[in-house]
Amino acid sequence: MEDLVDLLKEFAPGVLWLVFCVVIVFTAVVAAALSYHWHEYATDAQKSRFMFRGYLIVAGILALVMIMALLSYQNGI
Amino acid sequence: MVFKNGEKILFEVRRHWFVIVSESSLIILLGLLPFVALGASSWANLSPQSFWAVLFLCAGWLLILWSAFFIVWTNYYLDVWVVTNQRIIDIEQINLFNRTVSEFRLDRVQDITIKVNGFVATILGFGDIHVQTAGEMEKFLIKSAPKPYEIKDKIIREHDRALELARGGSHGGV
Repeated sequence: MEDLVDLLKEFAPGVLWLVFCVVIVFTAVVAAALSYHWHEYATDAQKSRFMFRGYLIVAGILALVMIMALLSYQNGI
Repeated sequence: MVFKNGEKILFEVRRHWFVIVSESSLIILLGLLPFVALGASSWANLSPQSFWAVLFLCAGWLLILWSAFFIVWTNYYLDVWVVTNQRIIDIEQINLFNRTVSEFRLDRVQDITIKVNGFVATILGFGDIHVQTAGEMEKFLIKSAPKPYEIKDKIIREHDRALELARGGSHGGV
């Protein structure tokens, strides 16, 4: 466990920002592909909008948690 | 999707919920890992700074898994049979970039075969529905459809109605 703690302390904020950017780019690409599919292929436009919005809301909350944790880590709170 | 004049959707057939649960079971299991990590970090009395790093990684992990789950869900949801009052549209969504759409008129249905295979399928009531159409070599298939016997009855009822309409139309023309 102490090794893990040491490892976490070694993380430079720059590395975490890079991880954050990779995750956000991945999510954006997936969101764009899914948006196209739901828009083009779903039979019920209202239901598809509702589901895609649900995806975006959860993804947005997780991204927000990421960025808040990252800023807290960086500022040493 | 473009529908013809006077055409309306009667019902849609998707695979049974057991399919989406079994396809996403690995994602669900992997989604439990961050909670284990957060529990372990609080047990290990990490410094606040280390806790934020763990939380950051857990949220990132969950975000990737959430996207993966939604891709699985999209493939499940868009893989559908749309039964209208004129035809059956078979949309086969294999993955995000692999999709086949075929259709056949209801009055072309020749026979319908149901295959319920295995203990889980029997208990939960799902099975494969094969539809053979006139003049077609290929069978149309939807796998693991819920209540397959009910769906078969509905399709046969609509097939009979479509045949009646076709006969009525041809008699009216003579």
